[in-house]
Parts: sequence; structure tokens; C-alpha cells
Amino acid sequence: MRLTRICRLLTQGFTRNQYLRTSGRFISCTSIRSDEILTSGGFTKASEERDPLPLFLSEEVQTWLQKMTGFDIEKICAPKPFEADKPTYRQLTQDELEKEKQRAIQIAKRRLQMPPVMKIRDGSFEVLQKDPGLNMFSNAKHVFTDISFGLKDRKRLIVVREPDGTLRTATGKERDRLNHVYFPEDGRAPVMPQMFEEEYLETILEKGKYRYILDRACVQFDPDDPEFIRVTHRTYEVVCERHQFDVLRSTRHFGPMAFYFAWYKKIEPLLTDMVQRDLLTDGVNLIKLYFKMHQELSSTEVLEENIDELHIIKNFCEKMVKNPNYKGQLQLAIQAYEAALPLQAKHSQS
Amino acid sequence: MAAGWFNLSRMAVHHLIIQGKVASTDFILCKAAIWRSCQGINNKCFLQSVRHVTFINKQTSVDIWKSATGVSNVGRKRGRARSSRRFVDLNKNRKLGEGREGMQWPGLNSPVFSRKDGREVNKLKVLPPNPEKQEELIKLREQSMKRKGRKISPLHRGWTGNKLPGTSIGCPDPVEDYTFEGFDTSVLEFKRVSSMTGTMGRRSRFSAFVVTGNGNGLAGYGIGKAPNGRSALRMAMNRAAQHLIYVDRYENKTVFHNFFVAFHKTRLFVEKKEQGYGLVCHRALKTIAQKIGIQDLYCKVEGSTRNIQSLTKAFFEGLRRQETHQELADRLSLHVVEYRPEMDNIPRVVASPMSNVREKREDGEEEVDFETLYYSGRLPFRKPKQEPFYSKYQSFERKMRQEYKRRNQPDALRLRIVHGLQPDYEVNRPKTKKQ
Repeated sequence: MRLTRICRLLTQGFTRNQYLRTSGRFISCTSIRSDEILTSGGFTKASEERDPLPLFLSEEVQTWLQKMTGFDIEKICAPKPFEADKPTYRQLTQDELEKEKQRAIQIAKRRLQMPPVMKIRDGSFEVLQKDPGLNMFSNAKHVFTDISFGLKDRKRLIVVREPDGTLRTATGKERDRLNHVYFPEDGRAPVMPQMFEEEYLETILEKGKYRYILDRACVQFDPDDPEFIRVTHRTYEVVCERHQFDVLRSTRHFGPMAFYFAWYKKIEPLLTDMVQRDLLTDGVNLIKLYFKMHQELSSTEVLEENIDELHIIKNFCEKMVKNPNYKGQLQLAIQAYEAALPLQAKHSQS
Repeated sequence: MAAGWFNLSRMAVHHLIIQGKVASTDFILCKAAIWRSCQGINNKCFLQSVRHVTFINKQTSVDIWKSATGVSNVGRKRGRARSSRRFVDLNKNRKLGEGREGMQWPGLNSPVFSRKDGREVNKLKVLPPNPEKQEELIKLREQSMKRKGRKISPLHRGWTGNKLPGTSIGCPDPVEDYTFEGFDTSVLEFKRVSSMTGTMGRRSRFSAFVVTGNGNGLAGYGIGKAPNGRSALRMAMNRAAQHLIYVDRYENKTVFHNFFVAFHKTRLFVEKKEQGYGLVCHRALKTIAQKIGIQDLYCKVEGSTRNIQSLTKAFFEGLRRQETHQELADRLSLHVVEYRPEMDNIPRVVASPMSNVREKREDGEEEVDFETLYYSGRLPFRKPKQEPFYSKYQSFERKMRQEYKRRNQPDALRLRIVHGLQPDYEVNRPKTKKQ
């Protein structure tokens, strides 16, 4: 009786939960109606790719990316577009002010935490049991979720009993949905908002709201969600096309963006921007990252020992850049930098 | 037929009389003229001896109207003229010779001789009736009787109605070479005041109280009295321009700190506010703040809120006595640090002392509360919000309990509609008649 009621409610788009307590664990049962029928293992396309996560999390790469990001505290903590409140004032001694400044740096560092770069999760699942006796027990799938306290969303056990009696683990999409039902994230919509759909995404990017869409994607998706990867990659592409890298400096998205360009071997526009903005150290770090990722390329020609930053970039331009368009732009930027060097020296002397 | 035209001729003569163009003594003469002009069409004309001696043809239209609408001199002084009926010019837009029935009067409303050869004499003619003519005349008359008020944009109207306070009266008159460019003046108070004199008795004048400013820190107020309202305004405006003071503002937006200031019975508690808050204060203070160039402010007035002059003087005095952050930092030998919630509450140094900064506080020295530092020991009375009378009723509690269950439903419904999980019935709902 209860089951039919649950099913009837589900056809109207509602969910009803029923809590069971078994051996100290809280297991919740939800029935979901879904058109997709999964019977065999999922696609393995994503698993063929190289996993960028270990490289991204390595200490050396993190340091390079953090240095590239920059640390403009006024930009990191710029006024947010929500309702302001009245400011408070304090009168501080020198010691107290130093402590407060340290606290501000900690706040800003937290704001700059980079979202991890991961490969697309595979849609595979594991069949745990096939029970023909349960065939057609219901016309909806029943999902069992471990909602015990202290479990992480990615570790939580979620299994699905198909109407044909198959018991299997849940796919990534199902996991997202169920996790959101029991442990909703603040700001995450239950269904993907339309702005992430391709046509609407283009209009937002056209307006130059890169930071907004990236921030919003971090809230909405897990970092290995195919949608997250699609949205972020498209945004990086548009930023590169328009040469607007500076918008993302001092934000948490600059590191993953640089990582993306290095991963797909198109660092030239970003490198040009760094030379134009007199950020040669960043440029060298980017080149180092590039060679660390692609160890099949020999870095000995470019990263010679005991040469200065400008020469490394020059070497890179000459030996590694194939695209004539990119090469021309980078050469121009280097020439402009060299032309401005004597002026800079004079300025610093006076 | 004969009686018909006679009536017409009577009408025409009355017409002339009412217009005040012909005196009633000329009646017979006039009638004869008309009779002569229409001899051509009717030879069987006859004269009947009639006495038309009533007040209506003895008096001119002006006199007749006066009898209905006039007010005596005494009455006028007492203000009775205000409520009396207004004179209506019934002959407005009406041509001589035109009546209720259409007629062509040669020599009056049409030429005497025909246009063709200039020899033939035009004859009196009855034209087809035009019933719309009368309505048209009434409409035209009513239109011209209506007063045409000048339309003022809502932003330039005063605080209330057709009154002067709150309106702008332009920039002050130039003094030698200096033209007050960018200045604007607003009226704060405009009233009639009177005093008794030995020789003239009660002498009344207009008193104008205005504030002028350039919206960029420079402002002043002034008062002027004159028998004429306009000259009082001008006098006040020029006096205000002679008493300008410069008001220091924080980021050109708001005051430096909360402060208390009093003038006679008027006490102000002014609060510094964040950007975008607006001016939430007495309307006079709002006008003054606009003239100074303050954009964000809250002010609570305790005591007299009606005495505009005290209010203005108190506000200017308070602004003048402000201590800037730099002065505060110098006084305490400490950094003045700002924390803004929309900027993650990171410390932003707004002023550092010119001389040495203190490394440590003295023993037992407490931090100053910036909020109440300039309230001179007072605090504004904040009335606690009263709960509505029904809040303790059982029925209300019951209702709240019922609504508690449904508290998220409207939002959830909206979300489902937004994500396309549920059709929007509101959009497609057929319109039903209210019963």
C-alpha cells in the first residue's frame, strides 16, 4: 500500500523518504523514476585519458600556480555584489594592526584555494547482485543511501535496486542527485541552471562575466562532473580568444586556467600576456609547468642552466612555438619588453 | 412666417444689447434698421407696439452679471469674493448676427452686395439649422474658462502640494567677479510674519529660510524678510551665499562618524552609513544634505521636528564639529582601521598618526567604542517594535503552526517551475469573473 503511494507521488515529481535503522547505520530508501535503463557497465572513454589530478596536486606545480595567480588583496576581497552593511571602526596599535593584517592574508588565501583539475568521471557502475525473484516488484528504481553522520559525499554508499531485481552501485549523476536530496549544498540548484546550457553560456561569456560563471560552476558541480569540465574549458577558451587573462588574476580560477593551457599545449597567448605585463617569472614558471607535463619534449634546449628569465622565454619562442601567428605576437611582446628595458633602468636609478 | 422673422429680429436686438454694444434706448432705431434691411423679402411687415422695459434690457451685461456674482467691498475684504461664482462670458466665440437658427443677414454676417456683379443686393436668407453649433460654442467657452496650470516635474515640486519649501530657486546672484557656478538653492521655510508698529499698526512681511550649496561640500543657510515674497527669497539666498562653510565628508559620501548635536529643543542623532544607504532623515535635513553633497545618512530627531531653523542650525553645527579620521588618529596616536562586511571584514587603514604610532596600549586601557564616541554620553531612544495585538491569540498560534508546515512550499513550487519540472499554471490560468 505504502509502495503504491510512494510510486504515485513519484509520478508527480515528488520524493518520499523512508528511514530504516540497521545495525547502527541510517539507511534511507528513495524511489526514483528515470527513463534511462542501465544494465551493463558504463562507457570507458574517460578512463583512457591521463589523470591530471596527481600532477595538479604536486607541491611544485601548486607553488608555480599560486605564484602565477598573484596576490592583490584589494581584488580578492573586492566589494561583493550583495547588500552592504555599515562599516565598523577600530583604533589599533602597531602590533594589533600587524596581527590583523596577518588575519586578512589568511582570509585572502582561503579565497584563492583552487578547484582541483580532474579528468571526467566515468559513468560506470558495479553490479552487486541479480535477484530474478524481485523482477517487476515495482515500476520505479529504489535507491538506498547511507546517511550516517560523518561520511563524505564521495565516499557514501549509494546502491540502486532496478525494477528487474538487479542491485548495483549508483552512477555519478545519481550520486549527485541523491547527495543533494539529503545533504543540499548552499547555492547548488537541484537541476542544472539554464545558464550552463551551451546557448545561454555563450551569451554570458559574451558579456565578459567569466568570474561569475566560473564561481557559479564551482558551487553547482563537482570538479569531475562532465558539465563542470565543459563549462570551465569553454570559458578559458573565450578568455584566451579575447586576451582577457587579467580578469582572472588574483582569483581562484587563474591556476586551473594556466594548467589547462599547459595541458593542451597552447600557452603562447598567456605567455605573451605575461611578457606584456612584465611578469617574466610567471612566464618561466609556466614554461616549467609545460615541460613537467609533457616529459616527451626535451626541455634541455629551453631551460638551460644559468640563464636569465628573458632568455628562457626567447628560447621557448624560437624552439617550441610552431604557430606563426602566436610566434609573431610573442616575438613582438619580447621586442617591446627589450625596448623598454633601458627606460626602466633609468627610472629605477632616478 | 411673419411672426417667425419678428422673433428672430427680437433675438438679434437682444443679442446686441447683451453684448453691451448697443444701449437699450437705441432699441427702436436698431429694430428699424433691421426692418429696413429685410424689406426686400417681406413687404407685409408690420410693427406691433411692445414695451420691452425690464432690467434685462435696461442694464448692460456687465451690470447684470455683477448683480449675480458681485461682492461688496466689505465682503471682498472678508474674503467672500473667493467663493462667489465667476463671470461667464456667454458671447464668447459668438459672431454678431448668429443665433440659434441659422440666418444670413446681409450687412451683418454676410456682404450686402453679391460678389458676382456687385450690383445685386443680397437678400435675407434662412440657412439650414446646425444643431451642433450650440454644443460647440459651449465646449469652446468651457475650454477657455479652465485655468491652465503649469506642469512641474515631480522632482522639482516641493515637499508638499503647491508650497514653496523643498523647491529649488536657482543659484545666488554673483558677487563682483564670482558667479556661484554649480550652486543651487532650496527653500526650507516660507511664511508670513507680522509685527506691530506704532505708526502703521500690524505690518506683515514674508520670511524665507533657504539653504544653498554646490553639492560638493560647500553650503550655507540664510534668512530674509521682505514685504514681497520674491524679494524675501532673493535676500535669503544671497545671505546664504555669504555664509558658506566647507563640510568635510568621508569618501564624498557620508559623515565621518555618528554624532549628537542639539540646538534649543531640537536634538539630532546623526549616523554614518554605508554606500548606497541613501538619506533616511527629516525632509529638511535631506534637502540640506543634498545641497552639501552627502549621499548616505541616517538621522533621528528628538524634540522639535517642526522648527526648521533650529534643525538646520543644529545640523550645520554638528557637521562643523566633526572630527576626521586623521584628527582622531593623531589625537590617540593609533591607526584608525575600517572593516567593511562586503569586503570580508579585512582591515583597511583609513588614517595613521602623523607622528609616532603607539606600539602597545597602556595597562587597563580599553578600546574606544567608535559608534558612541561622539554621542556625548547620550543614546538615541530606539522604540522596540511592538508585537501586534493578535500575536498571543490561540487562533494566531494555530495559524502559524499550520503555515509552518507549508513554509517552503511556495519557494519549492517556484523552483520546480523555473527548472521546468512542473507547468506554470499561473500563466495559463483562464480568467475567471470575480463574484
